[in-house]
Amino acid sequence: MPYTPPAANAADLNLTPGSYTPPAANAVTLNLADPAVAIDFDGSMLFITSLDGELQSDVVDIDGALAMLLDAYGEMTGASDGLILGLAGTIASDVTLAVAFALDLTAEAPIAHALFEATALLGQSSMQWSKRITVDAVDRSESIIGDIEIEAEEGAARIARFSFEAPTGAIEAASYLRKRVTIDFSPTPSQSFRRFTGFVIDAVYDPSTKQIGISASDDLQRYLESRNRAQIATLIGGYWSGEVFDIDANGWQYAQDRLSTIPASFDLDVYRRPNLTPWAANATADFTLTCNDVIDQTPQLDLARATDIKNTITLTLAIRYERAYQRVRSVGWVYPLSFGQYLQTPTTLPNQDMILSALDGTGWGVQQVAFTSPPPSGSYTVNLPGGGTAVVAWGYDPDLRLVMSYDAELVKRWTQTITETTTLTIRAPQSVTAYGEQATTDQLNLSPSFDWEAFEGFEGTPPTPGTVGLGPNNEWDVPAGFALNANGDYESDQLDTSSIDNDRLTAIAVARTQILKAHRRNTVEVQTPFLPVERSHTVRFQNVSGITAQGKVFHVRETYRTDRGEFIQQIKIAISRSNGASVTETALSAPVRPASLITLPPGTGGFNTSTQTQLGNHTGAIVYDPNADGYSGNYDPAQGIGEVFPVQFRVIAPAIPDAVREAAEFANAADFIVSVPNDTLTVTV
Amino acid sequence: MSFGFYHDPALSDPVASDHPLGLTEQASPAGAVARAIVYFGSAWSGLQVQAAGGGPIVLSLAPVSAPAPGAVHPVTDYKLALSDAGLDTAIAGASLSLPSAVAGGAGNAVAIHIEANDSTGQVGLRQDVRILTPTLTERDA
Repeated sequence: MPYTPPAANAADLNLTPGSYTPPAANAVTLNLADPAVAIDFDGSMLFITSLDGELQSDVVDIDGALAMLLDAYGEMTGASDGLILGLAGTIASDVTLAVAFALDLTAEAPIAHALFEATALLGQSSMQWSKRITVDAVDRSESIIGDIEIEAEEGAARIARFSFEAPTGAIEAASYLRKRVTIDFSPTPSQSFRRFTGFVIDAVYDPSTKQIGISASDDLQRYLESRNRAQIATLIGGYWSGEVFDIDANGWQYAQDRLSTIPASFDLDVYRRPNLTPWAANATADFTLTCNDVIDQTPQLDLARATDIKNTITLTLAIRYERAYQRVRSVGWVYPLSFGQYLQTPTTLPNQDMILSALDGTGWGVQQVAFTSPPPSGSYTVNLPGGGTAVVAWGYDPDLRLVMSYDAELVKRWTQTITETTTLTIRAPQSVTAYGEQATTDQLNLSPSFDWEAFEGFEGTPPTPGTVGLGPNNEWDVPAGFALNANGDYESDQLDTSSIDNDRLTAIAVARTQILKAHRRNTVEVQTPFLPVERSHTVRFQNVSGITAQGKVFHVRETYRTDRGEFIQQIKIAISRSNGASVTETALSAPVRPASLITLPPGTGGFNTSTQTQLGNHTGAIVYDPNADGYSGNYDPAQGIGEVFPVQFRVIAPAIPDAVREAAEFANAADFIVSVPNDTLTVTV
Repeated sequence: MSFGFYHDPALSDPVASDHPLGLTEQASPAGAVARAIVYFGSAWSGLQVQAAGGGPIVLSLAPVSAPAPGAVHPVTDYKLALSDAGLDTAIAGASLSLPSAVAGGAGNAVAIHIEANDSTGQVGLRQDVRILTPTLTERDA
């Protein structure tokens, strides 16, 4: 019976826009009323159209298929819209089609996320594992030949080796280099364990077997080398000092340097995610294995030799630096006669040039100076020696810059080489008791640079005569960071304390880590079926052939035997042992530096406060003292007959005491206690 | 609609609420992850699917409507990418853009890589997040 759309067999189905999933109430029965017996859909088609005509399906040849696809597209535009189902074509039988709409316009994938305890896999030794191996995102799982080996050692790159049947066509093994490799193993379709993510580092084609052998690495070294120092410091932490390590080290070496200061290992996990794991075993093991969980029931126990267990390091920390001083002292001179006396019996007077030259000759800097000049030209009333007064005319040319007194502040800068030595004995006392002292020495010599020549040789801007006073010259201000000491001088140790402390802390941390590392050279290794063990795990062997041990995983080697679909795993753990009671460890901080205070007698280092004035060319003149400081000149005109003195001005600078100039050394000593963990290790015969 | 998510690249094993995408993760050490692949496509060649609103087909992570009692995984416990390597840099909880049209046929299936991280610490099986497509229009290619 032929049907033509819109046919009598059509059934209206009103649906509001939304999502419908069969079987549901949206089902409509489409009755086709031909009474024939045979069911024959040949040549017949189902169609869909919407009431408003906007939605129109292609008619689909059903051809007797039970799985029909009615591909309708468009949209229903309102709640009153609906669909018409119909059959177009001819059928020969009486049939009822139960039609339901699946207007499921979105698709979704629910996720079943299982979180399980690692030990739940124990006892699954007979499990047949499946694998998924990709090389450059191409699934090579079905063409793997032979064993797949994955090896991961603490702090090293994870390595995978396998071979696969070469694809047909031209072979260029080198084209696989640097391509991404992933290896996953699954005990069930819903359980999958990533075991390797890395890159091909070697690919070799063997023409005799037509296989391509792959070696892949997680490329730990490149991972670190591609990061800057700040990123590596964040990843690893620890300490670093350019005085202890190579300042030009690349990223890999920089990371190793930082790792040498902390009891921890850095490696990449199975997804190439960074993983910093402390050496200390967790209190609760991630896996506890008994005899029933290991394949070879004879674990391999390797104990460190006592002579290899370094437990004492004498670390000499020396700092050689410059202590910079600035001394500020006053100096001055006053003409010994009154101006009235001078007018009656004139003498030569010093001028500013003479004084400034004399001050300059001291080698000290002039911070400020104030001069007192003679009064200006005019008539002055003076007291006569015999009594009475007289008016004296005084003519003075200011350009002569004569001086009747001056006061100055002079500055001296110098440095002193200080050497501080701290002898630090870093030791693990419980280990010393157990194994005897296994000592070594190390040293760190620090010499922070300082341009002492520039500091001592600083001259500042030379003073210029011609003004009543000079300065203060700010160039000679006390430099920032200088503090007044007990000797009345300003001083500053020319070293960056925080930097020095970091240098010394780094050296101590290295020594401490060396001692801790030396004590975990004990290993226990067993063979097991597959466990998703990582280097970050703590594993316990519980009475496995008499050995009970618990420690951090040091090495994992896993072999997947493709011919049997099974795993063999070798798990090696590192055990820290000191064989002694625990001790309190010294807090890791910079050791106290030796006291280096230098005290001088009070008043050391001042200028002569009673500078002299020697006047000649008069009767009864004193004997000229060429070594005296101050002014020497003459009466002019002569007052009788006497020795004519040289006209000069002299300032004698005080010497800097040797105690604060010559190299000085200071020393102290301290102990640093390292507490070596005692991981579980018992052996019962 | 024939387009959907499948367990296998041949698109013969559809993902469903009673046959979900499985991700198995170790509880210890914390921070372990699991990765899996799910395939999006249609076994019917000659069809294609597009986002009803146009533009790329953007897959999103969404909570299920009625999760079982207990700790619920936030969508940020998951990452989506078009490759395993892409998961290394994918943003947790972020959506994933597919091409604007995906053709039917097993050979055109799109592999969706997913990584699960656990923030709940709750040992056991949870089914509280799904990968969701936008409203799609399926039509002849």
